[in-house]
Amino acid sequence: MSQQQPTHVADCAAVARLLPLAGHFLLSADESSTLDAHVATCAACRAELAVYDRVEAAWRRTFAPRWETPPLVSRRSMMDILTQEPEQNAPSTAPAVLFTPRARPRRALGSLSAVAATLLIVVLMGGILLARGHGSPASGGTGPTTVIAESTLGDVAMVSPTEGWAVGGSSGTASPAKIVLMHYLDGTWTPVNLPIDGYLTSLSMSSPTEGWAVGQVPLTQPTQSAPLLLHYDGGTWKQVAVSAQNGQPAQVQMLSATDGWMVGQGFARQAAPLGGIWHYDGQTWTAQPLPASLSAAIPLQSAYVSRIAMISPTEGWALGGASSTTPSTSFILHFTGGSWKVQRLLTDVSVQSIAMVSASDGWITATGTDNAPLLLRYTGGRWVEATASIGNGGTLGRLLDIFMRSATEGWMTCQARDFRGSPTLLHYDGTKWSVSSLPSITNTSTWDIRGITMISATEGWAVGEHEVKSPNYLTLVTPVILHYHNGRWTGYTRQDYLTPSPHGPSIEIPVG
Amino acid sequence: MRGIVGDSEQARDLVQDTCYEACRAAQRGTPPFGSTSSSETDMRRWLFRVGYNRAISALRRRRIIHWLPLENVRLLISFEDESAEGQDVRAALATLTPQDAACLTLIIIHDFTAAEVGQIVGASPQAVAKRFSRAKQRLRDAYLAQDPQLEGSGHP
Repeated sequence: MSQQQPTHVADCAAVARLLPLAGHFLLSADESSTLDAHVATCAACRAELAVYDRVEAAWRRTFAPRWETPPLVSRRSMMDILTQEPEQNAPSTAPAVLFTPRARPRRALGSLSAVAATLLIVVLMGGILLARGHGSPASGGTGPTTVIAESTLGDVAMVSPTEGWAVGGSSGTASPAKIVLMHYLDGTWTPVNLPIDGYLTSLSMSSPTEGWAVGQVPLTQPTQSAPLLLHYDGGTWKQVAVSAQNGQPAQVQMLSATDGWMVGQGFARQAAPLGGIWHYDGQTWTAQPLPASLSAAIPLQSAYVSRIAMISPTEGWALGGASSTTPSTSFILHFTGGSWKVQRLLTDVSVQSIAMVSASDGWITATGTDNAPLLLRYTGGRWVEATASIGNGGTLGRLLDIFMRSATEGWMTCQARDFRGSPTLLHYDGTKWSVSSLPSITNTSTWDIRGITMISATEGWAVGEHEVKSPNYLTLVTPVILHYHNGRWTGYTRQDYLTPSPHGPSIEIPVG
Repeated sequence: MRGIVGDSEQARDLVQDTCYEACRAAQRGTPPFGSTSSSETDMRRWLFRVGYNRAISALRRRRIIHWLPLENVRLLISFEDESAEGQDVRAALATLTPQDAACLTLIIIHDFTAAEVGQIVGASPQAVAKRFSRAKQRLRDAYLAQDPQLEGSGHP
């Protein structure tokens, strides 16, 4: 405890904010003088400054470069690069159009085929309002769009061939992130103006007029987020509160307007953990207990539930794992008889997504040892490995989303191997998965497909993101929307990526 | 780079990618490499900006894979160094956002000024100073929580 006089203690409080900044030319001349004069006479602040110095020295010892030579920087590799022919299209003169679609789809609906190259700069969604808080109406349809240049899309849901929704969030390093919600109507994707911090990870529509989108709002306290739930009811998006103060919803699935499920991790109220599975009865969301038997394998405090696939109100499946176990442990839960039960534990496996065709047929995408793709199928009442049904599994990256329309037709997204290059889209024809042709994106180092949904056997949508390089090599991330029609995928993205402002122009998604 | 992403192997990959970009930029004659007026400082700043953006992108990809917010990716960081101090520092790193960790690393280890860090991470010098101060206090608190014996302040 300091033995200084009261006025001196007041000085200590005043210089406390200067202490972390000392020694790096981050203080003004006056501030430096004040600090120097004070620590010369105050042993307590001198000790505090010494603590900062020691902590800083430890940081330096731990993270200072070790001057290892990266494998690439060998003389031969450098010469190989430098002796290549100069590129004709340097980034500074790169074309503004990123996509080179192999073919434009011909739409069956004439009204849609007439809508090409439609753009939104600031589009106001008159019928879509937001109520922040607990349901009080608030304007969401006026003012500038909140969709920003750098953003990503993670999930898409269609309510009809002419209407759908996609969700995501801003992806720039600026904080706080803003949610992204896009509406597809009669041939045009339009960002909806919802000025909410955070980002959305999943949405599910039970009808054209009713649905939910879930995500999270990062809190000031590191590692904690507040759950974010948006309810679309009769043409209005409203933010809905749940009993959890903390939580990170990962997926929502609505069976009807009065029956829905949400899964995620970190749900807690006043530091008391709540379950990773929630049920909606038409009025409120209620946390569901995880099976007690799970605690024998993993600490329930670190358990997360990442995916859910309900077949009916009385039966469904969920995937999850534990972030604290080594090797990583995943679990498959089965909902029958009104409760969740552990169906299977998987060691050294990271489960990603699940799609159930029926009570007796379903698929799970996962990653096994050495990050190898792993595909499981539910058949004959048990989960069995079905990776062999992927023809070129050895060249694939991480399997992500899966969508099954029937037992003989489905789609699966696969991340680019080593996170570089193009993703892979796999199509299931009833016997095997085969690679589907995708449009190519120019001037991108990598891109991903994060969510996929099919309206029919001949039409569907997928969303994701791609990285683009601006002339100054800042990496930007912009959304990708893919449209499947009559056997071909066509891609759309914004065209003015060269503006690296996090609050730059809106997204332009022409749909042909 | 390790001070941002935590994982040594990933940091090496990111440095390699950054070097590759530098080679390509030099080959194309893209500024700062193609300009006779560019200084070594310009090139250094360019390298760190590219490296920083690649690190943030890599962390964002970790977030996407595990559907965690960027602030939470540190939960998935694997640590190799088993020294007690290294573990304490990395535990402290786990309480920082990647942007905060980058500010600490760029200023403490690489001696960049706030203005230079601002150019690298895309922020004003004032914002960098604020971020640095906050990060260093968090680092101190987390580090002391790991090693209370280090507590040397006479303040309550």
